[in-house]
Amino acid sequence: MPSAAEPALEFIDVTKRYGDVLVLEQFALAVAPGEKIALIGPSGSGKSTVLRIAMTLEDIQAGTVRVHGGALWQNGVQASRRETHRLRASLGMVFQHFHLFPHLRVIDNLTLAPRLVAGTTDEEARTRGMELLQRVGLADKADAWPEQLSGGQKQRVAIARALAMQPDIMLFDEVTSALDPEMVGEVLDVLRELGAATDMSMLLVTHEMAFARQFADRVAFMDGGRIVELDVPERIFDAPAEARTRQFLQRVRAV
Amino acid sequence: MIWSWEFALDVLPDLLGAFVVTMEATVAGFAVAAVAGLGWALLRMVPVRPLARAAFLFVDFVRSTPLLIQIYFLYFVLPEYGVALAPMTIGILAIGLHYSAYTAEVYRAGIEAVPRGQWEAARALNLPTSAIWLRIVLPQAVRPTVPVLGNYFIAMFKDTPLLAAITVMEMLQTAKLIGAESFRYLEPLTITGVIFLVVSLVASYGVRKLEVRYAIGR
Repeated sequence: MPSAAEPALEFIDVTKRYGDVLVLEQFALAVAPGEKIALIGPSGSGKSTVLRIAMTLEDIQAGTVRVHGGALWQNGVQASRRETHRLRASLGMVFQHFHLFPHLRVIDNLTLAPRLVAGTTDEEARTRGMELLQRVGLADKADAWPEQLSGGQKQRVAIARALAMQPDIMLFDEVTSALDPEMVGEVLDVLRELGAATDMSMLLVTHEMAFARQFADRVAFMDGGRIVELDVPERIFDAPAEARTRQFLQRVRAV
Repeated sequence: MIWSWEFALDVLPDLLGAFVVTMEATVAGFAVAAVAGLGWALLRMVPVRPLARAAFLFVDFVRSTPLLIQIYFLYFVLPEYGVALAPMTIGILAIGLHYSAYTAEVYRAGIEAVPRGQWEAARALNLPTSAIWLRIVLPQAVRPTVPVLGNYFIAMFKDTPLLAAITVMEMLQTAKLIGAESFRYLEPLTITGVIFLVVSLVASYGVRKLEVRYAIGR
């Protein structure tokens, strides 16, 4: 695993509460450049919140989050709007429920942000957008409306949309959980291709244990708002050190 | 009194001319209501407390007082402060601002109906707040409001006779004048009513079409 001096994405003692409910408690994790980390654990363990905090979709009560060394949150205080905007440009996120823009055609879903935010010309944005659609196997759907697509196709478009902003850290939030079983494979195939062909850092929350094992460099088992165990997939899945990890995996496998 | 077709045909041109005035007041008033209503809806969401508060007060105030009083107020009180506007202009402003309090609610509902995920996806793409509003939220928020706004258009059309109170020569005022001159009210008032009926029915049909069209697909 590349162990460059500076992590691509780093959480230091992050605490997050919703009212009285403690969601993350002194959460710490460092994602090295190019590293792929899978977050697994029971629902309610705070996995998705970790991603949402990195994208500043949630605020935090204490702790620091750094993106390539720049503080997105410093001791619980969010960076200025400008700095947030700058740091967030390194991040891309894909959601469980896709959240495609229903009033825009597929290609326009991909080109909107590059044109408005990155200042890309219409033509360049379209060319790049078509390349990305090609890559996720949906070039023929460029002029379709999102509602005309299947769930798996929507999610592949959503991945392409995030990639259009050329992030180097990707956050995948249970991207196959809302899909019919027969569509899970096509989305995982896109992730595999992405993992093999790029050196992006990835942090993914998933319930697909077989995929996590095969795909991730390291796997973090979370429970109760913190990481219980973080190790290479073989250790986590074959010889977990913690009793809670073993219990969770037994429950998952029993299904 | 017996209905006279001859007299009816005689006064029809005047009433149709007044119908044009009625439509002008309705369309211009609707434009005011459509734009100002969106303004109130957005103002009520800004984090600047005094602005949001003012927008709330305006909407509550307008909805809680009769349109006729608002029309009179603008007509008689504004000139005392040196603002002299034509009756038609005052009528358009009064009806438009009155209905903007209602369209504001329509827009608010439309905006709140845009799923949170749309905001989140837009932020994850690093879109600035202004672009999120203009490119993502408002286009989705306004669409379902179109048929509802259509119903308010019809309501405004039917409220234009109130402008007779401030001498705007719309249909009711014209019918009244014809009656006062000829002592025949039956024909002008009947024709006025029939024109309102026909236009309202046609417009309702149009709104139903809009409902179908704007409900399916994007």
